[in-house]
Amino acid sequence: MDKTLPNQLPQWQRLQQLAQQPWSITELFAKDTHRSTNFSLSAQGMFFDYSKQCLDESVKAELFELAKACRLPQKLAALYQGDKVNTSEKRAALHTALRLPKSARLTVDGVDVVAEVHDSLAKAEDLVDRIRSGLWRGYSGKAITDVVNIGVGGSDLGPVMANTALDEWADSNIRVHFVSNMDGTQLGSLLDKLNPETTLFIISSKSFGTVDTLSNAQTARAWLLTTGASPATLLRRHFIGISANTERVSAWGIAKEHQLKLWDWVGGRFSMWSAIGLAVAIRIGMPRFYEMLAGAHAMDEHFKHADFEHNLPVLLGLIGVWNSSFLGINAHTVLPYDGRLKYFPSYLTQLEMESNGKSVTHGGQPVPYATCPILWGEIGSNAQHAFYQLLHQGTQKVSCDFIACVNYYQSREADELKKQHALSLANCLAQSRVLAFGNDALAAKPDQVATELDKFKRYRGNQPSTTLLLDELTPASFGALIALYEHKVFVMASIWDINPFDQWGVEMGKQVANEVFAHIRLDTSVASDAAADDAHKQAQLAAEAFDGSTQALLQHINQQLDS
Amino acid sequence: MATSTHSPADPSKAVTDHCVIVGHSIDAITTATVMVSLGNQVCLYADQQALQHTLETYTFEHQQQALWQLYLNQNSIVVQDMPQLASQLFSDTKASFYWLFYGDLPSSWHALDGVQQAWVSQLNDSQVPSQTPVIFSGISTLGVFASLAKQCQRPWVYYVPFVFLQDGSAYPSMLSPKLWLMGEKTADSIDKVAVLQPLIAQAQQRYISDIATIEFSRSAIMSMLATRVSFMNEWSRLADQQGVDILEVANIMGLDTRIGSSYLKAGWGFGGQTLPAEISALQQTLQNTQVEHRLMQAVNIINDDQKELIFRKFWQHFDGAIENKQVSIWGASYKAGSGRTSASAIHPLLRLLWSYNITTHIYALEAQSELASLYPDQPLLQFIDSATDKLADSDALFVLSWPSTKRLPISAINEVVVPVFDAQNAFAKTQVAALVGTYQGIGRSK
Repeated sequence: MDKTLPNQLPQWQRLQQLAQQPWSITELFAKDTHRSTNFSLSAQGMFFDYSKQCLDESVKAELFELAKACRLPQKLAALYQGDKVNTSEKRAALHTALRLPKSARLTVDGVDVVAEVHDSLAKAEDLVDRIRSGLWRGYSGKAITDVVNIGVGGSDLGPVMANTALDEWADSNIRVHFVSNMDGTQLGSLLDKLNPETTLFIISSKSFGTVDTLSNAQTARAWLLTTGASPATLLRRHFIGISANTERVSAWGIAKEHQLKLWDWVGGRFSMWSAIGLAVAIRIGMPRFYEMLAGAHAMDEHFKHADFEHNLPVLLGLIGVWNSSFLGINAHTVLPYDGRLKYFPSYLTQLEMESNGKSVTHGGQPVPYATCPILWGEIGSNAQHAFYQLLHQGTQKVSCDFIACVNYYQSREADELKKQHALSLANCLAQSRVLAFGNDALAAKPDQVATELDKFKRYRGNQPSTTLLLDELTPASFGALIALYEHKVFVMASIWDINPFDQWGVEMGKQVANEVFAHIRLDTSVASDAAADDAHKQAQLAAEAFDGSTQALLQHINQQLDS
Repeated sequence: MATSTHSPADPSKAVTDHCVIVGHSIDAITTATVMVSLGNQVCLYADQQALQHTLETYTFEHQQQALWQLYLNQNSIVVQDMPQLASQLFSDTKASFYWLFYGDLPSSWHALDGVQQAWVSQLNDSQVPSQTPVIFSGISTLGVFASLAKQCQRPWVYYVPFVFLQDGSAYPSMLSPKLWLMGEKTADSIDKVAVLQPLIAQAQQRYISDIATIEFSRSAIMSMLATRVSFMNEWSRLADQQGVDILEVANIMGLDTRIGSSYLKAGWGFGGQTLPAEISALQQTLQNTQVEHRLMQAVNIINDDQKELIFRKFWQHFDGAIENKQVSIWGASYKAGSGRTSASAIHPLLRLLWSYNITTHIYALEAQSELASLYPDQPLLQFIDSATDKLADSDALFVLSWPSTKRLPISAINEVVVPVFDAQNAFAKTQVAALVGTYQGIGRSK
């Protein structure tokens, strides 16, 4: 592996120099009357306007050079062909293969990946059809009315997001619910409303070892057992398992024919396209699920073939690197002006921050530059009443992605809804304008008189943003949007020389949680899971090894539980 | 059963004292036969293919079929192709009356001509004497027939709902109807349709009123019958839980003169053409008028669910382990003795059984041809000529429609000790007691 860090490249150093100059979006527009044309792109049913970013042609050119110097094209090829780009885990990252058409060919380590993917899709399709058509029956012979997807992280955020985004394509009466958090609040309130006869649980976990998921699954199983039906029948008729670890799934008790396979070359946060999306397919049907895959595949092809200047993921990724590593903008917010994309920001918190929240290169060297910014987001019009105050007048530099769909409600009669949509679009454009130009966004009124309040009403502007307008939201364009951001993440990681496909930083917390769990005095007949049992024996002796804060907190909790 | 058709004659040259009937349904065919029996010459206009299909489907109407063939041979019934335009029909100005079966009219006739249906305009514009009566029959959303009558620019317009028609005895049930309802556009004008007087006279009960009232009453009667069926079916589930025999309960209920004994039989629900069509038309009316319809919605929900209840009992018996089994099924029609499987529980049952790769041996002589045409390439569908043929190979026996006049082969069932799933409650109490193996009916079990 090349030991030269990216910041040691001459292209990087030239960019650092370029970053030193004062950047003013107002001045950039003043200098270049064709700026909006030169810094926008139409591709894949999207209009991508990055003219309100703090960069010019020289920065753009230098970023392209940096990308070449960081071997982005070669890394892209390696990604697509199944090389072990996940270097720490020695795995491929073939989420792009999940949406290859049946006619494609890809063989990795002697395995026909496309055939495997489509076999899995065919099995998923059979299950989806049986559930949707009422042929899948619960223990009492009644058809399934409710499906509960139990999963966390990549096994939850993607399907939740897709389920909401594509709700208008849902054509089944089956209700789909999502349960992720480990404290039981979601599942508990849901089970109060569900009928065990007609509820099917999908247990989604790549490792089938995630404690959040297994604890929810265990609670679901216990709930079903209260019906008095035979445990074998309950497991057979009320559970589907999706995992790369089929042994664990079988050991848990899920019938083989109701298991769907994942592969270790699919990262959890990149897995929505696989059987992990089963709950979505149940709602919208397989044809539309395939449309979503096709849209993502079209973006894959675009990423692979378009030159940098006309390449959406490359531009989005390089802009992200410029803002974070060169302009020192450590916060990034995603603002969809479309309620259907309500969960898109949450999804990106995992996709971007779990992928690129790294501080060590592929070679194991600490990085001396800023990598992934802190990311959050909200529906834009709601955020206007929440954190836009900070964006406009706070002390933090924040870069923004504005996302909206141009066409909506076109086929409906409701003029009022169309008006609301236009209002939302107007607000989307207005906010990026104000963020970019500040007080200059408003034409000065000729008779304006200065007041005491002026100093509180000053908008400094110069907050960079990108606006992405989708022609319309469909399963295909939704697939393309998600794939765009997956590839953006890869571009950024390629420049930073970090591995976007592992996530070692989430492991220690789980381990310590097991140790702490052993010290919480539960008055329950529910047995601790195996990992906690092991930790219990060791932690008994090591309780005093906890820090004082944790000890005090445990003491407080146990006093309350004991009383 | 063949139709003997004449090449399209010039209707304007038709013989007097003939009546014109328009339709291909069993209602229209029965009417044609009855009219001839009452001394009329009938000219029947029908879609030939649809007519042939009806005749083939209703082969179990033996009396009806025999008379039809006889009258065809005698030229007492002359069948003509359905004209493209109603104006061609109404060029026959010598008909003693026109009897139109609304659901059988070509869709092109229903196209709107301004605010009226095209055929009404064409009737109004035709040379058909204003004194010639016009009779409608059929099922539609409420108010349709009253509206049609109003649009017809003639005084003698009537509506006759076929509430009296019984599957398996269509001809006699019309000739001597239990209940004759008749709506008249002009009050006290039934003497203008002399041809119907014998039927009115033969009726056990009769009621004549304005068309809107008769339409409404037709719908109310059929909906009440459907409600009774769903009521008993819902109570059958409680009976299952309480260990009470719902058949016995129904008999007791029937003793109460406020209730009466009809339509109290719990089973797999109601099917056939009429009741489902009636409920569907009513629901459409309720939706159009935005009147709440929770009761009728519930009736439908219960009925749909009831059709798969017997499958669920079978499922529970085997604790869901039903893949790859074999079952025998006795009867497939919506009613014993009928060859029609329209809205029968056989369809959801077969769909579910086949989805678990279960081989189905069906004994249903009257319904066999209809099933064969509906499921032509289904390898899991096997027809048997004798009820007990495949009992020994079967893991379960379903009974869907078994004629009450036919003996149930209890000993053959006991020989193989096959569990019985009786969706029709065909087994009497003593027969259930005589079974060696398990028995599950609707609201009764052993």
